[in-house]
Amino acid sequence: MRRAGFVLRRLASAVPVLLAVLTLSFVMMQLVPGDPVQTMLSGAGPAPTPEQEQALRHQLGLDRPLHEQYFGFLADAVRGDLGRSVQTGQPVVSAIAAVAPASAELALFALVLSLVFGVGIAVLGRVTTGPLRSLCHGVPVVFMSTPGYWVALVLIEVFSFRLTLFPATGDKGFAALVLPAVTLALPAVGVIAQVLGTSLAAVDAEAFVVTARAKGAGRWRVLLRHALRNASIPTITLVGTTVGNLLAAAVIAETVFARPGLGRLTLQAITNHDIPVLQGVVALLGVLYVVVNLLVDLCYVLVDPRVTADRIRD
Amino acid sequence: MRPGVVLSLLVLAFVALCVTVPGLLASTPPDRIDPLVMLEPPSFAHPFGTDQLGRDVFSRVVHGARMSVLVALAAATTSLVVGALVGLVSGLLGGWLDALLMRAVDVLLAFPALLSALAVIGILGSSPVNVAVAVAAAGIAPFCRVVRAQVLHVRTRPFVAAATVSGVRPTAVLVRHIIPNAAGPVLTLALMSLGVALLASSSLSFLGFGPRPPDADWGTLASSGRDYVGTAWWLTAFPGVMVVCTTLAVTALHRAVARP
Amino acid sequence: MAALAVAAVGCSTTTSDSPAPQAQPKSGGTLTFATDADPGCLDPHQSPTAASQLVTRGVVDSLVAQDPKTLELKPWLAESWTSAPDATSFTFTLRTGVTFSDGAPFDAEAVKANFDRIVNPATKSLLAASLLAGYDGTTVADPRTVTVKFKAPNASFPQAASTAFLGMQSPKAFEAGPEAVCRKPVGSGPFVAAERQPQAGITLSKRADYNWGPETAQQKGAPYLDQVVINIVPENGVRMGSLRTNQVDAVANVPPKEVDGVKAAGFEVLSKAQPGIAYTLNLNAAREPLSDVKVRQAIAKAIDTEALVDTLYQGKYPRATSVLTGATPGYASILGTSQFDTGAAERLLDEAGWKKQDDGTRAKNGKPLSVEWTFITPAREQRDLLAQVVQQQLKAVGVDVKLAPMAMGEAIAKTARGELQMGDISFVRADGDVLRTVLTAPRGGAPAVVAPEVPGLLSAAAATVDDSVRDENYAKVQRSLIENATAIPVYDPTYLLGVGKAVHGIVFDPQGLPSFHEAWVSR
Repeated sequence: MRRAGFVLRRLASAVPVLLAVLTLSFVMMQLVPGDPVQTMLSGAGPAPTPEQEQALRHQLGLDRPLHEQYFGFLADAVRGDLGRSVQTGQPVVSAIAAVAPASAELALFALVLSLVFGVGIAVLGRVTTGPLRSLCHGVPVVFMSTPGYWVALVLIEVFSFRLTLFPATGDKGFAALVLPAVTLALPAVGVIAQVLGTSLAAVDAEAFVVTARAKGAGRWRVLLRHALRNASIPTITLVGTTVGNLLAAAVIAETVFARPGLGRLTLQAITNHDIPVLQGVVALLGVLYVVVNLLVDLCYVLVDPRVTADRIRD
Repeated sequence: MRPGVVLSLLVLAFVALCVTVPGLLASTPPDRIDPLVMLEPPSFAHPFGTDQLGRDVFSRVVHGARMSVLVALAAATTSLVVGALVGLVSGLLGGWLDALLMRAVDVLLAFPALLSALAVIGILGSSPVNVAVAVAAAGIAPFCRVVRAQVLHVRTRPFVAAATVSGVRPTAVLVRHIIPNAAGPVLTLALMSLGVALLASSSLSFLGFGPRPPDADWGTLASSGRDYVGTAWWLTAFPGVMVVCTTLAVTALHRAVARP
Repeated sequence: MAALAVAAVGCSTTTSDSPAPQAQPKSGGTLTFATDADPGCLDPHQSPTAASQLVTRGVVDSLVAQDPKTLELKPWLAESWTSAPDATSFTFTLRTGVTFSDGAPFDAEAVKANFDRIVNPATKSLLAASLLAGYDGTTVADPRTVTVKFKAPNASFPQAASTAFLGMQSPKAFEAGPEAVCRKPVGSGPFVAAERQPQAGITLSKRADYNWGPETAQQKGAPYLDQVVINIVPENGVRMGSLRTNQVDAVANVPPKEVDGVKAAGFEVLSKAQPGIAYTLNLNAAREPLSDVKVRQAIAKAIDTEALVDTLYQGKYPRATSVLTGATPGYASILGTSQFDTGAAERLLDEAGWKKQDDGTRAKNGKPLSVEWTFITPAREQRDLLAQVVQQQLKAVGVDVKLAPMAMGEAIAKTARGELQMGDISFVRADGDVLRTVLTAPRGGAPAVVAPEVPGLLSAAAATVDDSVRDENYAKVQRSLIENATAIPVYDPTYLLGVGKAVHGIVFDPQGLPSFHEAWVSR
């Protein structure tokens, strides 16, 4: 019962964040220099007449006062209508829906990779000694400091063109997913390995671990049963931000590996000044952030018996 | 000093030389076109090889340091100043303004740096200044948080109460004590933020939003070599290595400072 | 009169056409083709791009076919046609038994529906409508006979009708609206396009009952290939690597510098000089400081096109000698030798009052000599590098060029507002009338201002079927553009197609784009 109440309260607290995100994307539209009407009418042969401009302005509701436009925008957004792409005339929501599965597939696989390798490196860094240990401590920083575009190019060169293990492009089949997913995952592996490694070290010194060890529990048993469980809290928090970062990295990976997806959609929207699409992506990220954080908070409760729902915020 | 720190300082010293006196390190002008030596692999005459127009890649990388580093520095500094001011105001005034500002920071944090920067570029258009603004805007939030936390922390200290009792204006006390207290964490954060800014700005350049020719930074250099991935690896490899090394050096310093 | 003869072409450029005939063509299999540009909308009536035409050419048939070698017009969906002497009406007699891939019949009503749709503003045609300039309607005499009328003469209409832009689509498919047609055009061609997901590749499947190939094709029945998969791979390096490692069968736009290496590795590179507007830099005579003809001429003389072509394209793209490419009907060689002459350029700038400063730049009344070049990104054919070299060449005579990269849509809008100072363009069409297409409603990057006599010359050329008059007028226009230095021709675009070892029979259509109708794979 307490959990249900907690979920409800968390959902309620998401509303202001969503409102802020939508407001932000509305403000974005206002900040764009140049006239959206002219952008929309440009392209087709002769210069548009003032009447055409006026008609389109009216059709888009741009001749209404600003506050009316704002509330109109909010009402539309709640109904799931984010306007139409300036470039293709397609509804923004369907433009996003068409490419979102490809990005979701990529991001999900990258997330799995980053968790497996991130946790793996952190654990190795705790249980090993000597050069392997230093390697496990050094590698995450290198991963975090390497730009995604460079990783992508190196991966293509080595694994696709020299070793011919994976295709360089394409959006069909698992093999085509590997290189872009590794590109996405690499910095996330670095962050997760580093944060988990640090908190593992901290937990190691805590009372209950010392007790468990005194009781004669084995090294691995302590690590798995006690330390890892407790050290995973900051890692779970990280997963929240990682999802957003994976999507950001997708802009680069999808461009270099020529995959369809949200990243390329965003990039196209920017080069074409397609603000409605850009607004749509921003709104989507806002929703995603709220959902992921909700899940993260739920995970806290499940993982650490000392955390109660009331202690989560702050 | 640990060897890692020494190495980082050496790398940063080299980068600093590239930024200040590029002509001293690379005597060939970075934009001298030479049709006789197009796309040559690294050699004694051209340590990093030559590009599609026969320009010396080493010279281009050395000269490209200025744009790369200055944009990242400008972005990180702007993030610091704006973030610290907002954090200070938020922490000092408290109340509804604090709540509002922190909500805004939450929203900012919801967006990955590269995407917020891209959104800003989408609005402002692309130019080195806009790239710096975009990257700076994306990096404000952490500074807000750190400074605000320091303000709240200092507020609870007994000496603030003592000073208030003795008639000193509380705001004056706070500011006088907050600045030295916050300086450490803020500067540590600044180092990290510099690394992030370098990665983000070079990624934006790679995507085509960077400086316009004849100016070039490491991101645009790596980008212009992507036509020849598979045949002329040196075009992307060396600018990329520079970005990695510089970011790594900054990050390593950050770690050394954060955990003495 | 049966077919409009087209002038013989003064073809000074390299044109190596289809590969030597191979053994026995083999049916079946899939050909994977990596192209560089996202075609976006696949409706030829809407989209102006060559990238889109590359896909749609196999999907839609045209009334008329143009021979890729002789550029003569031959029957296709129209068995014959006649033209009124004043070139204002054209009557086509249609082939029977042709159906669209959705089952709808091809007849005179379908022709009318297509042309009416193209000029309908709701279609938002970006190019096709301009090929029908002055359209006055189509009348259907009987299911096999149709007459297209124009208010003003349009002598090059039959040639325009041979392009995919005026290709025939199923009127039934129009009902779904222009956006649906963008995703899935329905034609009567040898291939059928599958519904396209945004950004994804395109799959073309064989139309087994196709048997109305044009007279110009060797293969008139169904294609050999079961499928053509077109992947969009914008990265040149990735595309070339994919060819080298046999991940794809053929690639578009091989960078000229890669040609020798790819050939040495055992791949074939087919090249085809493209007809139309050469790659030209254009100066807007309505904007300061380019309103002074001396400044424009100085810029034209300061650009070493010979060196540009050698450095960037290693002779794989020839230096342009006129605004039209050598492969275009109506081409006149204006620049037999390069006009590069820095001494003359410096003199002209001095005369125009732009005095050299100590730092090598020039200024007049305290104002520096500076020109903004709006160039379209993403750049094809290494035009971004070309811009950098030009920037350097002009810096040598004291002209400061600021490069302003811009997306296509924005550049077009800027041209339309007349704000462009310097721009660049190339445009594919196998007819001298392409000058009218580009100049009358200036396209993105085209010269904004032309000499007063130019529009008259172009409409007179469009009004006659006399090729000698057309050639003469087109020659005058080309000379005027170059002498006034509003256009500076740089190179003749050449399509370089990389082909894997298992691929045979890819030929080029008259627009210089690869066609897959006769292609087959041996594996």
